[in-house]
Parts: sequence; C-alpha cells; structure tokens
Amino acid sequence: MELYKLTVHEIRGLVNKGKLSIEKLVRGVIQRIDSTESLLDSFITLNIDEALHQARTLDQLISQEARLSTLAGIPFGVQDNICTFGIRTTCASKMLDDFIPPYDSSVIEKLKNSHSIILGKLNMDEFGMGSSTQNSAFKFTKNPWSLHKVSGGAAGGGAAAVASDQVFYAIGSDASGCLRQPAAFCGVVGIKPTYGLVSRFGLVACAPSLEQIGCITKDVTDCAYVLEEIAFYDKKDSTSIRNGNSTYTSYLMDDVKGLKIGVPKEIFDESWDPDVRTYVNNSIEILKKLGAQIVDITLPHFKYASASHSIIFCCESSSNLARYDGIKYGMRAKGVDNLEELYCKTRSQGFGQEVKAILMLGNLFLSNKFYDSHYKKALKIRELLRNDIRKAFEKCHIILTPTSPILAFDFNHESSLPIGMSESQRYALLANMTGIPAISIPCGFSQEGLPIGLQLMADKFNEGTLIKAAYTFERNTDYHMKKPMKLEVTE
Amino acid sequence: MKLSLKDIEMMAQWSKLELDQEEKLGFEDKLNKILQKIDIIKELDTNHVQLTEDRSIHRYILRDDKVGPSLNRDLVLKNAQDTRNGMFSVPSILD
Repeated sequence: MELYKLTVHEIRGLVNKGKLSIEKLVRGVIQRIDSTESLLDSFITLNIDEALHQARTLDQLISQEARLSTLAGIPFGVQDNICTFGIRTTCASKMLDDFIPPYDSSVIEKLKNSHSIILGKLNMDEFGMGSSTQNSAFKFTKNPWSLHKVSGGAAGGGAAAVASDQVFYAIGSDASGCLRQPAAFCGVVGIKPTYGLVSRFGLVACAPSLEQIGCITKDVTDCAYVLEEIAFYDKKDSTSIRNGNSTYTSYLMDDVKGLKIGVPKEIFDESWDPDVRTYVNNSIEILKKLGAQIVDITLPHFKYASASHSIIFCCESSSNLARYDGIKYGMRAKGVDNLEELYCKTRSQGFGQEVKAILMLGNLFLSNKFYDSHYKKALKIRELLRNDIRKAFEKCHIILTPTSPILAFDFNHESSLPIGMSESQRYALLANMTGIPAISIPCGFSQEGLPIGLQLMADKFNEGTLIKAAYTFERNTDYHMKKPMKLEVTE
Repeated sequence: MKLSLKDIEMMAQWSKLELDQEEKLGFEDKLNKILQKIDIIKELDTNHVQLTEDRSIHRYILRDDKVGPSLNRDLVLKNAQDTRNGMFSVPSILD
C-alpha cells in the first residue's frame, strides 16, 4: 500500500486497528519526499532524523496501549514563518538564514503535545509577501499539476507538499489569502479561521491585524480534524479568543438543506478565467440541487478592498520588520563603523526586493503627509467592508466566491508582483480584512488540467457551518480525489 | 501623486535601506504603478465613517507580577552574530 496517499482520517483508522506502524508511515513519506522534492522544491529545511526518532517512540507508546490524540503520528509540514524550537526558521529570507528559534510557537507546542510529527519547514514568499513563492530568497516551489506554473503564495510550499503527498497536512499563515489561494492552485483544501481562533504566538509577525494561522489538508474531513486540534485559547496571544464551540468534526454532515448561500453581485467581472466561471457556476448549481438556497447579496465597497488591504499590509509590515537590526538575531552586515550603518547595510543586504518595496510604501503611508489620506482612510474602508459583511450575513449563512478568479500562472507572470494587488487574491483578502473564516475547496479543473478553488466564507466563529457546507459539496463531487499525474509518472 | 527619485531616496532612508541607482529607478517605476492602483480609494468619501475599536485586537492581558520561566540565555545569544560576556555586542554609538 502506498501509505503516503492516505488522508489523516484514513491513517487514524489503521492506527486504531493496530494495522499501521508509525515508523513505516514516516519512512513511506520520506521516500515520497526523496522522489519528488527535486521537482517541486516545497521544503526549505527537512527534519528527517528527529521525525524518525519520534515515530519509533510513538510506536512504543502505541504498543503500551497509550491513549493518543487524533493527530498522533501524523507527519506534517510547517510554513517557515512559524517558530519551531531547534529547527531553523527563515521566513524564506536571507535575513533569517541561520535563525534557530529558542522556543516553539503555541500552535506547534500544541501539535507536539498531540504527538504529530514535524517533517520539515515549508517554502513561502519572503515574510509572506507575495502570491507565488517567487519571492522566496531560496527557491521557487513548482505546482504539482504543472511544473511550469506557480504553486501560489505565500504558502506555496505547503500547498504543493500536501497536493503531492509529501505531508498529510501543513500549518501556515494567511494574511491576504496566502493559504487559500495556493490551496486552490494546487487542488487541496485550505482554511483561514476566524481572527483570534488560533494562537499567533510564535508566528513571525508581518501584518498582525490581517494574518491568522490555518491549515492546508487533503480533504474537508482532515481540515476539521486539524482545526479541532489547533483552535484553542492562548494567554500568550492577546488577540486569542475563548470559543467554546470547537468540535468541528461534529459538523461533518452531508446536509445543506435550507442553508442560504449568498453570491455577491459585485464579484462577476471580465477578469475571470472562462474555466473558473464555468466551474463556479456549476458549483452553485450543485449546491442548489443539494437543497441550498442561493440568494443575491451586495458588497458595495468590495472594489476598494484590494487597495485598502495593500495599504494596511504595507503599514503593518514596515512597522513589524523594523525589528531586523542585525543585533539580536538574523544576519549582520560586516565591515560597518557605526550603528546607523549597521542597520542600513544589514537590512539592504538581508531583505529581497519585494520586502524593500513594501517597507518603503508602508513608511510613506504612515508619514505625516499620507497618514490621513491613505492609512486612516484604509482603516475606514475596512470598517465599511465589515458593515457590508455584517449586512450580507443578515441575508445568508455562507458567502460564495471563487478563491481566485484566475488559474495558477506561469513563473514571472505579472500577477505575482505587487502585494494585495494580485488579481488572484482579491476575493480571498476580504476574509482577512473583516476577520471572518473562509475555506477553499477544489471545485473543478481547467481544460489544461489546472485545479480551480471555490471559496466559502461564514460569519465569525461559524467554522462549523463552513465545514458542513464544504463537506457536503465534497461528498457529492470527486474533484478532491484527483491527483497530479505527472509526479507519479516521473517516479 | 507621482513619486520622484528624491521621494524614493527619502522613503529608503525612513526604511533604513541603502539603494543603488539601478534599484532607485526600478522602485520609482514599480511603486508608482502600485500607487496608481491604490488611487482608487480617492473616489470614495469616508468623512462620515467613524473608526470603532476592534476589541479583539486591542485587549490587554495581564498576569501576576511573579517571576516565571524565561528563554534560555545561551540559546537566545546563539542567534546573535556578535556577543560579549553574555550580552549582545553593538558598534559604538558615540564617537
């Protein structure tokens, strides 16, 4: 049996029946990485020896009939901007090339306590700034469905790794659709939970009011299992929120009868790829046939969302990345005479071009002349968007859009350039601007065989409704069952 | 609003970045293109909009004033490029 092809819930079943050794499972996945990584470049750092050691320890525990959590023994990957004790964490930047965190992020601490096994750190756009992983200082991650296409970003490494069965799930962050857009491009499931549901302690901060830790999985059931594990209150994160309702697996029901799904009229425009249009319309029809009620809704300020998101993203990033001064951690320029020179040379040598652009724009928008006309105005637009969303949820339970109106694009395509202005993220970033949860699920394939993602958004803390709707769609379609063929051929 | 090379130099200075001439020209072009797209917000009147504080963001979590476990000093200092006597070392600030 090719163990790497299994899902988390399938493995769970085998382990519970005593039919699977964790060491065998981990070795199977390592072999899979060995045979595919040179094609994909999903990982920045691998954690093989430690993973095997943990697997052997876990097999011993299982033989002693210890009670273990759902994710025990499941190998996973971590986006390289989430701190892992003793494992290099680079944010895909030269600035943090040799940074080894002296602590675990809270989400990793929780997963370690659940005995889930870290296989490695995943590639991304530098500090999460980009939509294609082309801004990584180390490598470009290729799309498993077509190696000439990007895997999306910032979490392109995670999406490619899950889609190609290199890991069973990936943990990452989402500040502008950074988990959902790659999930859509690679044909897997990605969720950004409600702001505050998952602790961000130990996530290397970039745009804290927009970003949230979430996961990428092979299907919706796995998404519910992982989310259930990582959603918890954490006093180390001042934005963490106590939420009693976190039994997401209880929402794995094939039932959307009576569910009101809102489709915003503003989203339909010329930018859509024709295949995306076909499959999103098809998805609406499928949900309608399954008993959902489709309602028209309006988001009057949607057209200003991308621009205001960009401004907030740049401002928060310029402030947060001021900490890279070459002193406490990260790279340090050599041959400098004074402190000012140390700051400037270190930052100029350590940051890539996209990061520099964002820092400069952020400082411009926060300057006296632009503060009211840009930064404050962007915050006000965020307020208007929140009102739009609030009103929309008076009419429906779920808002439906494509995750991205375009397909995975070629390397060096213009869509990969300015942050937040990328065509591929303009629907996804709505959830970041308003703090609501959103999930991307596979809903079709283009004529050239590239995956298409459907985005469902719900009101704050209604992840359960999202899981139920997504699960129902998945149970009645087979898009999530398809695998990238090219990788299997090359093995 | 169109950014000039002088504006780019000023923004780089605020960001503690040194740019060569080629970079300056590249950023002048790139950032002006982004600003053009961002200009769309000018058409919207937001004077009537009140900013409300998002309580999920602006909360203060307090703990008892008791000594608790802290990071291991040696592990923390290992990430610094230059340390001396258990402290971070920096270039001189005053001549």
